[in-house]
Amino acid sequence: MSLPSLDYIINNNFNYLYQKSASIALTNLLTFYFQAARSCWELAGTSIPVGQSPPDYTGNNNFICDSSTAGAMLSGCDSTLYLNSFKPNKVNNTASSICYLLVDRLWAASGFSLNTTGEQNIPFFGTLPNRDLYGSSSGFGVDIFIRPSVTFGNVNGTINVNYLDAYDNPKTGTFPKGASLISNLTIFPFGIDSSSGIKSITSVKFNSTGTGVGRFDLVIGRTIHMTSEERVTNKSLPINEDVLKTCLPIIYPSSCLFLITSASASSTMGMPISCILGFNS
Amino acid sequence: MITSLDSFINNIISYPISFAKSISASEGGGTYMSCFKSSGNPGIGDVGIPFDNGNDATCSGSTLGAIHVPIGYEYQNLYLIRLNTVSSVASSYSLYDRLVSYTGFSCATTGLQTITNPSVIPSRDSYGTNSGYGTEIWGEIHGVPGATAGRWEVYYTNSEGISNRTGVYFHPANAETSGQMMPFLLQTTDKGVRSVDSFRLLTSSATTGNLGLVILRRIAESSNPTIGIASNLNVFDIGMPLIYSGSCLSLIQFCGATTATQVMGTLNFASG
Repeated sequence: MSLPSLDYIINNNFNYLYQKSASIALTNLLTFYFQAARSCWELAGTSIPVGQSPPDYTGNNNFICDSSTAGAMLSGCDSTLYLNSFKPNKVNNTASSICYLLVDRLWAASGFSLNTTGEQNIPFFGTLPNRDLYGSSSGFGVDIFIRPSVTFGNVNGTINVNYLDAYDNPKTGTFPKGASLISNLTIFPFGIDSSSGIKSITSVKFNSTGTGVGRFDLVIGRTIHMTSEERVTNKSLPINEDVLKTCLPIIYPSSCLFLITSASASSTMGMPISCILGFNS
Repeated sequence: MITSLDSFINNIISYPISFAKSISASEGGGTYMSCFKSSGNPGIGDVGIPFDNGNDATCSGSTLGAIHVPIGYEYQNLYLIRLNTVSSVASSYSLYDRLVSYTGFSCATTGLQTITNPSVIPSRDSYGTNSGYGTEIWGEIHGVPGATAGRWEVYYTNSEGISNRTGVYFHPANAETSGQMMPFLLQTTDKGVRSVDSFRLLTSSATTGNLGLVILRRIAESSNPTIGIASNLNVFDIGMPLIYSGSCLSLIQFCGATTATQVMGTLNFASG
Protein backbone atom coordinates (compact mmCIF):
# COMPACT_ATOMS: atom_id res chain seq x y z
CA MET A 1 0.00 0.00 0.00
CA SER A 2 1.11 3.55 -0.48
CA LEU A 3 -0.29 6.82 0.87
CA PRO A 4 -3.71 7.36 2.44
CA SER A 5 -5.33 10.00 0.24
CA LEU A 6 -5.01 12.80 -2.28
CA ASP A 7 -5.29 15.28 0.58
CA TYR A 8 -2.27 13.70 2.21
CA ILE A 9 -0.26 13.99 -1.00
CA ILE A 10 -1.15 17.66 -1.38
CA ASN A 11 -0.47 18.48 2.25
CA ASN A 12 2.84 16.67 2.47
CA ASN A 13 4.41 17.37 -0.88
CA PHE A 14 7.87 18.82 -1.31
CA ASN A 15 9.60 19.64 -4.58
CA TYR A 16 13.23 19.16 -5.49
CA LEU A 17 15.18 20.69 -8.38
CA TYR A 18 17.76 18.58 -10.23
CA GLN A 19 19.71 20.39 -12.91
CA LYS A 20 22.59 19.13 -14.98
CA SER A 21 24.73 21.08 -17.38
CA ALA A 22 24.60 19.00 -20.57
CA SER A 23 22.86 15.72 -20.21
CA ILE A 24 22.54 14.51 -23.75
CA ALA A 25 25.44 14.62 -26.13
CA LEU A 26 25.59 11.55 -28.26
CA THR A 27 27.93 10.89 -31.10
CA ASN A 28 27.72 7.13 -31.45
CA LEU A 29 24.52 5.19 -31.26
CA LEU A 30 24.29 1.57 -30.37
CA THR A 31 20.77 0.35 -30.23
CA PHE A 32 20.30 -2.08 -27.45
CA TYR A 33 17.50 -2.02 -24.97
CA PHE A 34 16.91 1.50 -26.05
CA GLN A 35 18.81 4.13 -27.94
CA ALA A 36 22.20 5.17 -26.65
CA ALA A 37 21.67 6.66 -23.25
CA ARG A 38 23.54 9.15 -21.18
CA SER A 39 24.31 9.02 -17.51
CA CYS A 40 23.79 12.35 -15.76
CA TRP A 41 25.96 11.07 -12.92
CA GLU A 42 29.20 12.24 -14.49
CA LEU A 43 27.93 15.74 -15.29
CA ALA A 44 28.25 19.01 -13.44
CA GLY A 45 25.09 20.49 -11.99
CA THR A 46 24.04 23.79 -10.54
CA SER A 47 23.41 22.39 -7.09
CA ILE A 48 24.69 18.85 -7.42
CA PRO A 49 28.35 18.01 -7.94
CA VAL A 50 29.78 15.62 -10.48
CA GLY A 51 29.12 12.12 -9.24
CA GLN A 52 31.78 10.30 -7.31
CA SER A 53 33.92 7.99 -9.45
CA PRO A 54 33.44 4.34 -8.52
CA PRO A 55 36.32 2.48 -6.86
CA ASP A 56 38.34 -0.11 -8.74
CA TYR A 57 36.72 -3.53 -8.86
CA THR A 58 39.86 -5.40 -7.83
CA GLY A 59 40.16 -3.84 -4.38
CA ASN A 60 38.35 -4.49 -1.13
CA ASN A 61 36.47 -1.23 -1.52
CA ASN A 62 33.10 0.17 -0.60
CA PHE A 63 31.13 -0.11 -3.81
CA ILE A 64 27.81 0.85 -2.22
CA CYS A 65 26.22 4.13 -3.25
CA ASP A 66 23.82 6.01 -1.00
CA SER A 67 22.44 9.49 -0.45
CA SER A 68 25.76 10.64 1.00
CA THR A 69 27.65 9.71 -2.18
CA ALA A 70 28.68 12.83 -4.06
CA GLY A 71 26.34 13.36 -7.00
CA ALA A 72 23.20 11.90 -5.43
CA MET A 73 19.93 13.81 -5.44
CA LEU A 74 18.46 14.62 -2.04
CA SER A 75 21.88 14.51 -0.44
CA GLY A 76 21.79 12.92 2.99
CA CYS A 77 18.08 12.05 2.86
CA ASP A 78 17.35 8.99 4.98
CA SER A 79 13.53 8.89 4.80
CA THR A 80 11.22 6.64 2.85
CA LEU A 81 9.74 8.71 0.03
CA TYR A 82 7.18 8.32 -2.73
CA LEU A 83 7.54 10.04 -6.10
CA ASN A 84 4.32 11.96 -6.76
CA SER A 85 5.36 14.11 -9.71
CA PHE A 86 8.12 14.13 -12.29
CA LYS A 87 8.76 17.16 -14.49
CA PRO A 88 11.93 16.93 -16.58
CA ASN A 89 12.64 19.51 -19.24
CA LYS A 90 15.45 19.70 -21.78
CA VAL A 91 16.65 23.23 -22.37
CA ASN A 92 18.13 23.13 -25.83
CA ASN A 93 16.87 23.03 -29.38
CA THR A 94 18.07 19.81 -30.97
CA ALA A 95 15.27 17.88 -32.64
CA SER A 96 14.85 14.84 -30.49
CA SER A 97 12.59 13.19 -27.99
CA ILE A 98 14.15 12.43 -24.66
CA CYS A 99 13.38 9.43 -22.49
CA TYR A 100 14.17 9.84 -18.79
CA LEU A 101 14.91 7.15 -16.25
CA LEU A 102 15.02 7.96 -12.55
CA VAL A 103 17.40 5.38 -11.09
CA ASP A 104 18.56 4.45 -7.60
CA ARG A 105 22.29 3.72 -7.86
CA LEU A 106 22.99 0.82 -5.52
CA TRP A 107 26.49 -0.34 -6.40
CA ALA A 108 29.23 0.80 -8.76
CA ALA A 109 32.75 -0.33 -9.63
CA SER A 110 35.28 0.84 -12.18
CA GLY A 111 38.34 -0.49 -13.97
CA PHE A 112 36.90 -3.20 -16.20
CA SER A 113 38.85 -3.44 -19.42
CA LEU A 114 38.52 -4.47 -23.03
CA ASN A 115 42.29 -4.80 -23.25
CA THR A 116 42.04 -8.40 -22.16
CA THR A 117 39.90 -11.40 -22.97
CA GLY A 118 40.66 -12.95 -19.60
CA GLU A 119 38.17 -13.35 -16.77
CA GLN A 120 37.96 -10.21 -14.62
CA ASN A 121 36.84 -11.45 -11.23
CA ILE A 122 35.32 -9.24 -8.58
CA PRO A 123 36.85 -10.57 -5.36
CA PHE A 124 35.04 -8.32 -2.88
CA PHE A 125 31.57 -7.65 -4.26
CA GLY A 126 30.02 -7.26 -0.81
CA THR A 127 26.24 -7.10 -0.34
CA LEU A 128 23.75 -4.80 -2.01
CA PRO A 129 22.01 -2.29 0.25
CA ASN A 130 18.40 -2.97 1.27
CA ARG A 131 17.02 -1.01 -1.64
CA ASP A 132 15.93 -3.54 -4.24
CA LEU A 133 12.33 -3.43 -5.44
CA TYR A 134 11.08 -4.75 -2.11
CA GLY A 135 13.57 -3.05 0.19
CA SER A 136 15.79 -6.11 0.57
CA SER A 137 19.37 -6.87 -0.45
CA SER A 138 18.37 -9.78 -2.69
CA GLY A 139 18.46 -7.66 -5.82
CA PHE A 140 14.89 -8.06 -7.04
CA GLY A 141 14.03 -5.73 -9.90
CA VAL A 142 17.50 -4.24 -10.37
CA ASP A 143 19.54 -3.99 -13.56
CA ILE A 144 23.20 -3.91 -14.51
CA PHE A 145 24.35 -0.87 -16.48
CA ILE A 146 27.62 -0.53 -18.35
CA ARG A 147 29.22 2.92 -18.49
CA PRO A 148 32.28 3.31 -20.71
CA SER A 149 34.91 5.44 -18.98
CA VAL A 150 37.40 5.24 -21.85
CA THR A 151 35.92 5.18 -25.34
CA PHE A 152 35.56 1.67 -26.71
CA GLY A 153 37.60 0.80 -29.76
CA ASN A 154 36.55 -0.66 -33.05
CA VAL A 155 36.62 -4.35 -32.13
CA ASN A 156 33.73 -6.79 -32.34
CA GLY A 157 32.94 -8.92 -29.37
CA THR A 158 30.57 -9.69 -26.55
CA ILE A 159 30.93 -8.50 -23.00
CA ASN A 160 29.55 -11.07 -20.60
CA VAL A 161 28.75 -10.47 -16.96
CA ASN A 162 28.38 -13.49 -14.71
CA TYR A 163 26.05 -12.83 -11.81
CA LEU A 164 23.76 -14.41 -9.25
CA ASP A 165 20.11 -13.53 -9.70
CA ALA A 166 17.83 -12.64 -6.82
CA TYR A 167 17.25 -16.36 -6.13
CA ASP A 168 20.99 -17.15 -6.12
CA ASN A 169 20.91 -18.79 -9.53
CA PRO A 170 24.06 -18.23 -11.61
CA LYS A 171 23.24 -16.29 -14.76
CA THR A 172 25.07 -14.50 -17.55
CA GLY A 173 24.25 -11.09 -18.94
CA THR A 174 25.33 -10.14 -22.44
CA PHE A 175 26.30 -6.88 -24.02
CA PRO A 176 26.92 -7.06 -27.78
CA LYS A 177 29.92 -4.85 -28.33
CA GLY A 178 29.69 -4.03 -32.03
CA ALA A 179 32.50 -2.88 -34.27
CA SER A 180 31.49 0.75 -34.03
CA LEU A 181 32.99 2.99 -31.43
CA ILE A 182 31.04 3.56 -28.28
CA SER A 183 31.47 6.92 -26.70
CA ASN A 184 32.47 7.32 -23.10
CA LEU A 185 29.47 9.61 -22.79
CA THR A 186 27.04 6.73 -22.79
CA ILE A 187 25.48 4.17 -20.49
CA PHE A 188 23.61 1.00 -21.43
CA PRO A 189 21.59 -1.57 -19.58
CA PHE A 190 22.98 -5.07 -19.89
CA GLY A 191 20.83 -7.76 -21.39
CA ILE A 192 20.11 -9.86 -18.36
CA ASP A 193 18.26 -13.09 -18.77
CA SER A 194 16.33 -13.27 -15.59
CA SER A 195 12.91 -12.44 -14.29
CA SER A 196 14.16 -11.64 -10.82
CA GLY A 197 17.20 -9.33 -10.68
CA ILE A 198 20.83 -9.29 -9.60
CA LYS A 199 22.12 -10.18 -6.17
CA SER A 200 25.82 -9.98 -6.99
CA ILE A 201 28.26 -9.87 -9.89
CA THR A 202 31.03 -12.44 -9.90
CA SER A 203 33.04 -11.67 -13.03
CA VAL A 204 33.25 -9.96 -16.39
CA LYS A 205 34.71 -11.30 -19.62
CA PHE A 206 35.26 -9.78 -23.04
CA ASN A 207 34.70 -12.52 -25.61
CA SER A 208 36.49 -11.49 -28.75
CA THR A 209 39.00 -12.77 -31.26
CA GLY A 210 41.31 -9.97 -30.23
CA THR A 211 41.72 -7.51 -27.45
CA GLY A 212 40.16 -4.13 -27.73
CA VAL A 213 40.49 -0.67 -26.37
CA GLY A 214 38.40 0.85 -23.64
CA ARG A 215 37.51 0.70 -20.00
CA PHE A 216 34.17 0.74 -18.28
CA ASP A 217 32.29 0.94 -15.02
CA LEU A 218 29.49 -1.35 -13.97
CA VAL A 219 26.53 0.08 -12.10
CA ILE A 220 23.72 -1.83 -10.44
CA GLY A 221 20.63 0.30 -10.30
CA ARG A 222 16.89 0.12 -9.78
CA THR A 223 14.76 2.07 -12.24
CA ILE A 224 12.16 3.89 -10.19
CA HIS A 225 10.36 5.70 -12.95
CA MET A 226 10.61 6.03 -16.71
CA THR A 227 8.94 8.46 -19.03
CA SER A 228 9.60 10.53 -22.15
CA GLU A 229 8.55 13.47 -24.19
CA GLU A 230 5.56 12.59 -26.29
CA ARG A 231 6.84 13.87 -29.60
CA VAL A 232 10.03 14.83 -31.38
CA THR A 233 10.63 18.51 -31.02
CA ASN A 234 13.47 20.91 -31.41
CA LYS A 235 12.05 23.06 -28.67
CA SER A 236 11.73 22.64 -25.01
CA LEU A 237 8.85 20.31 -24.27
CA PRO A 238 8.35 19.92 -20.55
CA ILE A 239 6.81 16.78 -19.15
CA ASN A 240 4.37 17.22 -16.31
CA GLU A 241 3.62 13.85 -14.79
CA ASP A 242 1.37 13.78 -11.78
CA VAL A 243 0.58 11.06 -9.33
CA LEU A 244 -1.53 9.17 -11.86
CA LYS A 245 1.53 8.77 -14.07
CA THR A 246 4.17 8.18 -11.40
CA CYS A 247 1.98 5.77 -9.40
CA LEU A 248 3.92 6.64 -6.26
CA PRO A 249 6.95 4.36 -6.61
CA ILE A 250 8.70 3.85 -3.31
CA ILE A 251 12.13 5.36 -2.70
CA TYR A 252 13.94 3.70 0.16
CA PRO A 253 15.92 5.54 2.84
CA SER A 254 19.37 6.71 1.73
CA SER A 255 18.67 6.12 -1.95
CA CYS A 256 21.25 7.45 -4.39
CA LEU A 257 19.07 8.95 -7.11
CA PHE A 258 20.24 10.12 -10.51
CA LEU A 259 18.91 10.42 -14.04
CA ILE A 260 19.69 8.50 -17.19
CA THR A 261 18.55 10.11 -20.41
CA SER A 262 18.07 8.56 -23.82
CA ALA A 263 17.60 10.46 -27.06
CA SER A 264 15.51 9.36 -30.03
CA ALA A 265 18.13 10.73 -32.41
CA SER A 266 21.87 11.12 -32.39
CA SER A 267 23.14 14.54 -31.56
CA THR A 268 26.48 16.10 -30.94
CA MET A 269 24.95 18.97 -29.05
CA GLY A 270 24.58 19.08 -25.35
CA MET A 271 21.12 19.45 -23.91
CA PRO A 272 21.12 20.66 -20.35
CA ILE A 273 18.18 19.34 -18.43
CA SER A 274 16.21 20.68 -15.57
CA CYS A 275 13.98 18.38 -13.57
CA ILE A 276 11.57 19.10 -10.76
CA LEU A 277 10.59 16.09 -8.72
CA GLY A 278 7.76 15.99 -6.21
CA PHE A 279 8.00 13.70 -3.20
CA ASN A 280 5.93 12.62 -0.25
CA SER A 281 7.33 11.17 2.91
CA MET B 1 -12.78 -2.48 -4.02
CA ILE B 2 -11.59 0.84 -5.34
CA THR B 3 -14.48 3.31 -5.09
CA SER B 4 -12.82 6.71 -5.06
CA LEU B 5 -9.63 8.53 -5.88
CA ASP B 6 -8.59 8.28 -2.25
CA SER B 7 -9.07 4.54 -2.13
CA PHE B 8 -7.22 4.31 -5.44
CA ILE B 9 -4.29 6.24 -3.98
CA ASN B 10 -4.38 4.11 -0.87
CA ASN B 11 -4.27 0.88 -2.86
CA ILE B 12 -1.45 1.73 -5.24
CA ILE B 13 1.31 -0.86 -5.03
CA SER B 14 4.51 1.16 -4.98
CA TYR B 15 6.58 -1.49 -6.74
CA PRO B 16 6.72 -0.81 -10.49
CA ILE B 17 7.57 -3.95 -12.45
CA SER B 18 10.09 -3.48 -15.23
CA PHE B 19 10.55 -5.54 -18.36
CA ALA B 20 12.97 -5.40 -21.30
CA LYS B 21 12.85 -7.62 -24.36
CA SER B 22 15.04 -8.05 -27.40
CA ILE B 23 12.79 -9.12 -30.29
CA SER B 24 14.14 -10.66 -33.47
CA ALA B 25 13.59 -9.06 -36.86
CA SER B 26 10.00 -9.52 -37.95
CA GLU B 27 8.46 -10.41 -41.28
CA GLY B 28 7.56 -6.76 -41.77
CA GLY B 29 5.20 -4.00 -40.84
CA GLY B 30 1.72 -5.25 -40.03
CA THR B 31 2.88 -8.55 -38.61
CA TYR B 32 3.04 -9.64 -34.98
CA MET B 33 5.95 -10.91 -32.91
CA SER B 34 5.98 -12.80 -29.63
CA CYS B 35 7.77 -11.05 -26.78
CA PHE B 36 7.19 -14.16 -24.68
CA LYS B 37 9.49 -16.14 -26.96
CA SER B 38 12.15 -13.40 -26.97
CA SER B 39 15.17 -13.05 -24.69
CA GLY B 40 15.54 -10.37 -22.07
CA ASN B 41 13.93 -9.74 -18.75
CA PRO B 42 11.96 -11.87 -18.11
CA GLY B 43 13.85 -14.52 -20.00
CA ILE B 44 12.65 -16.67 -22.87
CA GLY B 45 9.28 -18.18 -22.02
CA ASP B 46 8.15 -21.76 -21.77
CA VAL B 47 6.04 -21.92 -24.91
CA GLY B 48 3.94 -24.86 -23.72
CA ILE B 49 3.60 -28.61 -23.81
CA PRO B 50 3.29 -30.90 -26.85
CA PHE B 51 -0.36 -31.07 -27.90
CA ASP B 52 -0.48 -34.84 -27.80
CA ASN B 53 0.90 -35.60 -24.34
CA GLY B 54 -2.35 -35.04 -22.45
CA ASN B 55 -0.95 -32.85 -19.69
CA ASP B 56 -2.30 -29.62 -18.30
CA ALA B 57 -1.45 -26.77 -20.69
CA THR B 58 -2.70 -23.88 -18.62
CA CYS B 59 -0.31 -21.02 -17.91
CA SER B 60 0.17 -19.09 -14.70
CA GLY B 61 2.32 -16.39 -13.15
CA SER B 62 4.95 -18.99 -12.35
CA THR B 63 5.26 -20.06 -15.98
CA LEU B 64 8.79 -19.36 -17.19
CA GLY B 65 8.78 -16.10 -19.13
CA ALA B 66 5.78 -14.47 -17.46
CA ILE B 67 6.13 -10.85 -16.40
CA HIS B 68 5.63 -11.21 -12.70
CA VAL B 69 3.42 -9.13 -10.48
CA PRO B 70 4.88 -7.76 -7.22
CA ILE B 71 5.87 -10.41 -4.71
CA GLY B 72 3.21 -10.75 -2.06
CA TYR B 73 0.42 -9.92 -4.51
CA GLU B 74 0.51 -13.10 -6.63
CA TYR B 75 -2.63 -14.59 -5.13
CA GLN B 76 -5.10 -11.74 -5.45
CA ASN B 77 -6.75 -9.85 -8.25
CA LEU B 78 -5.01 -6.61 -9.14
CA TYR B 79 -5.77 -3.60 -11.29
CA LEU B 80 -3.39 -2.40 -13.98
CA ILE B 81 -2.99 1.32 -13.37
CA ARG B 82 -0.09 2.25 -15.64
CA LEU B 83 1.43 0.80 -18.78
CA ASN B 84 4.69 2.29 -20.00
CA THR B 85 6.59 1.14 -23.09
CA VAL B 86 9.47 2.56 -25.09
CA SER B 87 10.60 0.90 -28.29
CA SER B 88 13.61 1.09 -30.60
CA VAL B 89 11.31 0.55 -33.60
CA ALA B 90 7.93 2.14 -34.22
CA SER B 91 5.49 -0.47 -32.91
CA SER B 92 2.44 -1.07 -30.80
CA TYR B 93 2.31 -3.53 -27.93
CA SER B 94 -0.52 -5.56 -26.51
CA LEU B 95 -0.28 -6.73 -22.91
CA TYR B 96 -2.04 -10.05 -22.57
CA ASP B 97 -2.68 -12.91 -20.19
CA ARG B 98 -1.50 -16.24 -21.60
CA LEU B 99 -4.13 -18.79 -20.58
CA VAL B 100 -3.39 -22.05 -22.42
CA SER B 101 -0.38 -22.88 -24.56
CA TYR B 102 0.37 -25.90 -26.76
CA THR B 103 3.34 -26.67 -28.97
CA GLY B 104 4.23 -29.11 -31.69
CA PHE B 105 1.62 -28.63 -34.41
CA SER B 106 3.24 -29.61 -37.67
CA CYS B 107 3.18 -27.44 -40.77
CA ALA B 108 4.13 -30.41 -42.90
CA THR B 109 0.94 -32.41 -42.89
CA THR B 110 -2.69 -31.88 -43.82
CA GLY B 111 -3.90 -34.47 -41.32
CA LEU B 112 -6.03 -33.49 -38.33
CA GLN B 113 -3.83 -32.90 -35.28
CA THR B 114 -6.02 -33.58 -32.25
CA ILE B 115 -5.11 -32.35 -28.81
CA THR B 116 -5.11 -35.07 -26.19
CA ASN B 117 -7.26 -34.06 -23.23
CA PRO B 118 -7.65 -30.36 -24.17
CA SER B 119 -7.19 -27.94 -21.27
CA VAL B 120 -10.01 -25.57 -20.42
CA ILE B 121 -8.80 -22.05 -19.71
CA PRO B 122 -8.30 -21.06 -16.07
CA SER B 123 -10.83 -18.63 -14.56
CA ARG B 124 -9.25 -15.60 -16.16
CA ASP B 125 -11.51 -14.68 -19.09
CA SER B 126 -12.90 -11.13 -19.32
CA TYR B 127 -15.25 -11.82 -16.40
CA GLY B 128 -12.95 -13.94 -14.30
CA THR B 129 -14.61 -17.20 -15.31
CA ASN B 130 -13.40 -20.20 -17.28
CA SER B 131 -16.09 -19.80 -19.94
CA GLY B 132 -13.76 -18.01 -22.30
CA TYR B 133 -15.51 -14.70 -22.93
CA GLY B 134 -13.15 -12.19 -24.53
CA THR B 135 -10.40 -14.69 -25.23
CA GLU B 136 -8.70 -15.41 -28.56
CA ILE B 137 -6.60 -18.07 -30.26
CA TRP B 138 -3.21 -17.03 -31.58
CA GLY B 139 -0.62 -19.05 -33.44
CA GLU B 140 3.03 -18.75 -32.47
CA ILE B 141 5.63 -19.87 -35.00
CA HIS B 142 8.29 -22.10 -33.44
CA GLY B 143 9.73 -23.62 -36.61
CA VAL B 144 9.60 -21.66 -39.86
CA PRO B 145 7.02 -23.07 -42.29
CA GLY B 146 7.14 -22.92 -46.06
CA ALA B 147 5.86 -20.25 -48.39
CA THR B 148 2.88 -21.96 -49.96
CA ALA B 149 -0.35 -20.09 -49.42
CA GLY B 150 -2.96 -22.04 -47.51
CA ARG B 151 -5.77 -22.03 -45.01
CA TRP B 152 -4.99 -23.09 -41.45
CA GLU B 153 -7.89 -24.03 -39.20
CA VAL B 154 -8.30 -24.55 -35.48
CA TYR B 155 -11.30 -26.32 -34.01
CA TYR B 156 -12.36 -25.13 -30.60
CA THR B 157 -15.07 -24.98 -27.97
CA ASN B 158 -16.48 -21.49 -27.66
CA SER B 159 -17.42 -19.53 -24.56
CA GLU B 160 -21.00 -20.88 -24.76
CA GLY B 161 -19.67 -24.42 -24.51
CA ILE B 162 -20.37 -25.27 -28.16
CA SER B 163 -17.67 -27.51 -29.60
CA ASN B 164 -16.28 -27.97 -33.11
CA ARG B 165 -16.20 -24.28 -33.90
CA THR B 166 -13.74 -23.24 -36.60
CA GLY B 167 -11.09 -20.54 -36.43
CA VAL B 168 -9.13 -19.55 -39.52
CA TYR B 169 -5.75 -18.12 -40.40
CA PHE B 170 -5.00 -17.43 -44.04
CA HIS B 171 -1.36 -18.37 -44.40
CA PRO B 172 0.16 -16.14 -47.11
CA ALA B 173 2.55 -17.24 -49.83
CA ASN B 174 5.36 -16.21 -47.58
CA ALA B 175 7.14 -18.04 -44.79
CA GLU B 176 6.55 -16.58 -41.34
CA THR B 177 9.46 -15.73 -39.06
CA SER B 178 10.24 -17.76 -35.97
CA GLY B 179 8.50 -16.02 -33.11
CA GLN B 180 5.81 -14.52 -35.31
CA MET B 181 2.29 -14.64 -33.94
CA MET B 182 -0.99 -14.52 -35.79
CA PRO B 183 -4.60 -14.31 -34.63
CA PHE B 184 -7.10 -16.89 -35.78
CA LEU B 185 -10.44 -15.45 -36.82
CA LEU B 186 -13.15 -16.98 -34.67
CA GLN B 187 -16.34 -18.32 -36.16
CA THR B 188 -19.02 -15.68 -36.69
CA THR B 189 -20.96 -14.72 -33.53
CA ASP B 190 -18.47 -16.36 -31.18
CA LYS B 191 -17.44 -14.28 -28.17
CA GLY B 192 -14.44 -16.25 -27.05
CA VAL B 193 -12.69 -19.56 -26.60
CA ARG B 194 -12.96 -22.09 -23.79
CA SER B 195 -10.59 -24.70 -25.20
CA VAL B 196 -8.78 -25.46 -28.41
CA ASP B 197 -9.30 -29.03 -29.55
CA SER B 198 -7.51 -29.66 -32.84
CA PHE B 199 -5.63 -28.07 -35.71
CA ARG B 200 -5.32 -28.73 -39.43
CA LEU B 201 -3.67 -27.26 -42.51
CA LEU B 202 -6.09 -27.43 -45.41
CA THR B 203 -3.13 -26.88 -47.70
CA SER B 204 0.27 -28.12 -46.65
CA SER B 205 2.52 -25.09 -46.57
CA ALA B 206 5.75 -27.02 -46.84
CA THR B 207 7.51 -30.07 -45.57
CA THR B 208 8.83 -28.38 -42.48
CA GLY B 209 7.93 -26.03 -39.66
CA ASN B 210 5.76 -26.13 -36.60
CA LEU B 211 3.76 -23.81 -34.45
CA GLY B 212 2.14 -23.41 -31.08
CA LEU B 213 -1.42 -22.40 -30.28
CA VAL B 214 -2.17 -20.00 -27.47
CA ILE B 215 -5.47 -18.98 -25.89
CA LEU B 216 -5.03 -15.51 -24.49
CA ARG B 217 -6.89 -12.49 -23.19
CA ARG B 218 -5.71 -9.09 -24.29
CA ILE B 219 -5.64 -6.57 -21.45
CA ALA B 220 -4.24 -3.25 -22.63
CA GLU B 221 -2.43 -1.77 -25.59
CA SER B 222 0.18 0.90 -25.98
CA SER B 223 1.50 2.60 -29.09
CA ASN B 224 5.05 3.76 -29.77
CA PRO B 225 4.88 5.47 -33.16
CA THR B 226 8.31 7.06 -32.78
CA ILE B 227 11.61 5.56 -31.70
CA GLY B 228 12.46 6.35 -28.13
CA ILE B 229 9.21 8.07 -27.31
CA ALA B 230 7.58 6.31 -24.44
CA SER B 231 3.90 5.56 -24.24
CA ASN B 232 2.79 6.46 -20.74
CA LEU B 233 -0.77 5.35 -20.13
CA ASN B 234 -2.29 6.16 -16.79
CA VAL B 235 -5.18 4.54 -14.97
CA PHE B 236 -7.82 6.41 -16.94
CA ASP B 237 -6.10 5.86 -20.27
CA ILE B 238 -6.20 2.09 -19.86
CA GLY B 239 -9.44 1.82 -17.89
CA MET B 240 -7.99 0.02 -14.85
CA PRO B 241 -8.36 -3.51 -16.26
CA LEU B 242 -8.37 -6.45 -13.88
CA ILE B 243 -5.33 -8.68 -13.67
CA TYR B 244 -6.61 -11.93 -12.25
CA SER B 245 -4.73 -13.92 -9.68
CA GLY B 246 -2.23 -16.20 -11.38
CA SER B 247 -2.07 -14.27 -14.64
CA CYS B 248 0.72 -15.10 -17.07
CA LEU B 249 1.49 -11.66 -18.47
CA SER B 250 3.40 -10.99 -21.65
CA LEU B 251 3.42 -8.74 -24.71
CA ILE B 252 2.73 -9.07 -28.41
CA GLN B 253 4.55 -6.64 -30.68
CA PHE B 254 2.48 -5.17 -33.51
CA CYS B 255 5.42 -4.54 -35.82
CA GLY B 256 5.97 -1.33 -37.70
CA ALA B 257 9.00 -2.56 -39.63
CA THR B 258 11.19 -5.59 -40.25
CA THR B 259 13.91 -4.34 -37.94
CA ALA B 260 14.82 -6.22 -34.76
CA THR B 261 13.40 -4.37 -31.80
CA GLN B 262 14.25 -3.62 -28.21
CA VAL B 263 11.36 -2.73 -25.97
CA MET B 264 11.42 -1.84 -22.32
CA GLY B 265 8.84 -0.53 -19.94
CA THR B 266 7.08 -0.75 -16.64
CA LEU B 267 3.76 -1.89 -15.25
CA ASN B 268 2.11 -0.49 -12.15
CA PHE B 269 -0.63 -2.17 -10.19
CA ALA B 270 -3.20 -1.41 -7.51
CA SER B 271 -4.84 -3.86 -5.16
CA GLY B 272 -8.27 -3.64 -3.63
